[in-house]
Amino acid sequence: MNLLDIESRVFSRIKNKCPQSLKDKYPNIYFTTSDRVQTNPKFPTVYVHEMNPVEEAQDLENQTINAVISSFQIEVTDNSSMSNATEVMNFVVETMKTMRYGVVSMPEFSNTTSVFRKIARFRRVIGSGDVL
Amino acid sequence: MANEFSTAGIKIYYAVETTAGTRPTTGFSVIAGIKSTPDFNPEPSTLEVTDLSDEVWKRYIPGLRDVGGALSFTANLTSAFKTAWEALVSASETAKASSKATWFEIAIPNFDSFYFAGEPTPLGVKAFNVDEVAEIDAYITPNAIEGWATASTKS
Repeated sequence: MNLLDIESRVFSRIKNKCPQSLKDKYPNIYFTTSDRVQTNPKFPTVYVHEMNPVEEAQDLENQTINAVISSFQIEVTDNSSMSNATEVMNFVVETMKTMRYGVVSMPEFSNTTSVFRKIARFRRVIGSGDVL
Repeated sequence: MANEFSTAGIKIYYAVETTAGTRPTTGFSVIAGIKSTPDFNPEPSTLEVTDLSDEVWKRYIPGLRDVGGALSFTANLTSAFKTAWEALVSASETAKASSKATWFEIAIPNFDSFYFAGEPTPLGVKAFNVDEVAEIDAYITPNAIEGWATASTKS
């Protein structure tokens, strides 16, 4: 496994695991790894962002990356209600747990009347021999 | 710049004797994935030799140095390391049956190597904890420590 490019694997897993019930309820649900604002934003939006990994388990030879501490910040934004953002985030958390990520913190944000946001961060150690 | 060096690039090798009683200088195989090596620099015991002629200071001579028994080498637990260690144990047991020792080399790039002979112990399993890289402690029981010498010839 390429330990320096885990974002695409995690993003694909989250996007592909999205249940039909959630797609039916939120037909405009949008998954992205880009933090650019779209011309016509879709809600709810699930923004998957891999934070810089940190090398772990170095050996004396130090010629290979044996493991990394992988961290993600995932944001769910909705324009109608906090409960919608929470419901989508619950799905995201369950999916991240299937990949054995631990939830390390959920920063609090002040919501406005038109933007409701849930944010969670996940972390786990991934070795070069691990399979997500 | 002086010639200080880091620990990056240090490798552990092993070879069995081809002639009993003679340390090999070629034919060493690498044991990849080692993360830490044991301390081969214990302080010597001190033997007091003060006699009645000494009026101010006690006098000592160095005694034996003790590495403390089985030596622990920590590695990441991988199939490659497990395979390499099993090959080492097998080779060592075969050599022992012919009264030949197994030698180990701690090789530092562009520097001399440290040599010792010993018997490896088959791997057990280390305690596992949540969200850590799996490691293993591999043990070698030393029965001859030669010390610093020229690095072996690598193929």
